[in-house]
Amino acid sequence: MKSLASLSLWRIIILILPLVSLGQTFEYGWPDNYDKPPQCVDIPVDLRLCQGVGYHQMLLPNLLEHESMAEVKQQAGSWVPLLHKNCDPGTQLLLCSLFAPVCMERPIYPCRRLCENVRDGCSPIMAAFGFPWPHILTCDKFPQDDMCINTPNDTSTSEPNGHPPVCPPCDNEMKMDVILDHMCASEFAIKTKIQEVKRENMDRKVTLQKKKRTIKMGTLKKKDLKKLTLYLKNGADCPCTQLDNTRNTYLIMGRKVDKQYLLTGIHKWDKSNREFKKTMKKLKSHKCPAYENVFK
Amino acid sequence: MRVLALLLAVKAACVLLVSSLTGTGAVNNSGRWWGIVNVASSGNLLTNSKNVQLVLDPSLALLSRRQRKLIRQNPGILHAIAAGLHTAIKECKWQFRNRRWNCPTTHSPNVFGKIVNRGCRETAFVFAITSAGVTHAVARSCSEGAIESCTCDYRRRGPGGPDWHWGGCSDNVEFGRMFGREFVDSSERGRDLRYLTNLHNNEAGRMTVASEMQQECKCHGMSGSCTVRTCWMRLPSFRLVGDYLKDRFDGASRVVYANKGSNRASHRADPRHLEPENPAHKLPSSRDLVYFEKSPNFCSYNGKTGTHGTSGRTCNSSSPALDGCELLCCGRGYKTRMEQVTERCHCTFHWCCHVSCLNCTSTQTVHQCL
Repeated sequence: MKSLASLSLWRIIILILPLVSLGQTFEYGWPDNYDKPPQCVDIPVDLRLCQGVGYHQMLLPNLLEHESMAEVKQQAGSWVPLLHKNCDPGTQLLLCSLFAPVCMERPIYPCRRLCENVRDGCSPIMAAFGFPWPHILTCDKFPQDDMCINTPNDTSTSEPNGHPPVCPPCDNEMKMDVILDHMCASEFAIKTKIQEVKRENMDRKVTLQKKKRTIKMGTLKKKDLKKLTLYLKNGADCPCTQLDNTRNTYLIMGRKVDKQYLLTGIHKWDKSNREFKKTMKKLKSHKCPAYENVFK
Repeated sequence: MRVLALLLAVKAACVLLVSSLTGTGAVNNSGRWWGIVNVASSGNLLTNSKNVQLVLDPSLALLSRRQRKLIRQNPGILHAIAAGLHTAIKECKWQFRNRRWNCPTTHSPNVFGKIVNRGCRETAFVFAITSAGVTHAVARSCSEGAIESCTCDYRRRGPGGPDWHWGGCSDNVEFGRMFGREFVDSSERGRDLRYLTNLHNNEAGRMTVASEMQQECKCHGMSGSCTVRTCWMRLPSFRLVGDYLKDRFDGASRVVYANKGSNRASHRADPRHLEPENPAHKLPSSRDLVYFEKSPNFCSYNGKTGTHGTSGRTCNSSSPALDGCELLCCGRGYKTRMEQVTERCHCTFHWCCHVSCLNCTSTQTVHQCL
């Protein structure tokens, strides 16, 4: 454990060192630590997290120490579903300023305020998927001066609507890209019906019918599949129309956190829907970014 | 008549001795190979490796036959050696920027000047930092795939601990060390005290790079979580190497040739042995720097010893340390002048994407040694 702490500290030190230079007199050029300077490369079309972010080239290695484009894509993949949730207008800007930083003579970090806004708006949704706000996005380490990236039009304030927010795993668009992104960000996916839904503390416990078909096995084992019970994290009181209708067949995605299986996405298995059919067909050939390739 | 004969014999002996010393100086190749850094910088290092070989061909004259052979056997490595030397020189200048001897270099093949022919502390640092530079750059180049005869250190594979595994590209420091020893040490000749101290300091540089390797890890689970973690061994930053060797410089040991040599059998059994000049001190470890000669006074210019002197150096009038004017100027005093400096300030990043700055002018006081 001490070794882990020191390693973590070392990573913090590495991340903080460039920021320290930001506090000093402004000077162009990368910190002279004898490492190879980052290269300016085009943002690839399949880096979906950063399509339409507002610039077209990025630095590699990026500001999260990802050294190859394969690594960037793999790590960015699990963040794409968060963009679809629209939890804060600055989400893509914050993530891409780190995953695909703008090409400048020196690194430009996101502003602390941008980070805090996104964190406050998005961490409840991330918690619903079993993700804490990650260490790599700790807001305290980002600058507060003018030499940083902020939301372009900072005057907009979102009005809270009257409806209670839909449970994040249930709030899904019937769109191929959205479903595929969720599929890649989830550990397993199955086709099945719901047997029972019950409140359990802050969560909702979802019991599935025996008859199941695996779409994506992932980390799931056959014996676990038989008696699979999923939890809608922090979903005791939010609306979820899918769970209210137990007659339908669903595409259900999930992941394992500690000893619990969390529901990360639920779509009606709607064969009459053209978009859904297209997605299922595409699913057979679709390849998620895999980390095995990153560290071969 | 007998007295005359005796006098002639003594004179002959003296002549022989002087001749021998002169000969020793003439054949000294120590540090000669460092000159490739200046030849390399005049060539275009951005060309492909084949052209690099051609452009740098004149520099091969500075290398020993053994070194030239090693370069032929390892295509792409000459580039790394030159880069390593360049890094070592920069680091040396950084570490000694506030001292009387500030690691001056020339653009001639004799990069560090006459300091390499001495056996003082500064000589020890120069040998150690250049050896470390080559080791570091070669190991780095292996990982980058720039040298055909070596790769990442793939010995580290599979599970490394309960919640992480080896992966990625571990820097190949063993190849760097091995090549460094073969290449750097082959320019040393002889069996005397200078030879032994140079070998020792070269090894100290290599050992420092190897022992300061650190494990680095990446979390690449979902959303950056640490459910999946991969670790590899990474070279230290060269600043870290320089800091370490500078500490060793400050605590360097003055050594003499081991006196056990009076016994023939003992001399043959252990011919390469250094021991501290002061018997009360401990034996220097393999990572300590060693020297055998007192440092010259670096205060004034001396063509014979090759010292530049501190006249014209910038100093700090309020510091009592080595960079203070009193010490750096060796009591000769200093002159003060006001200098106007314009810097970029109040920079703002504009979306997307450019940076705009104002120009701020300030007046700085500069002190220079007389």
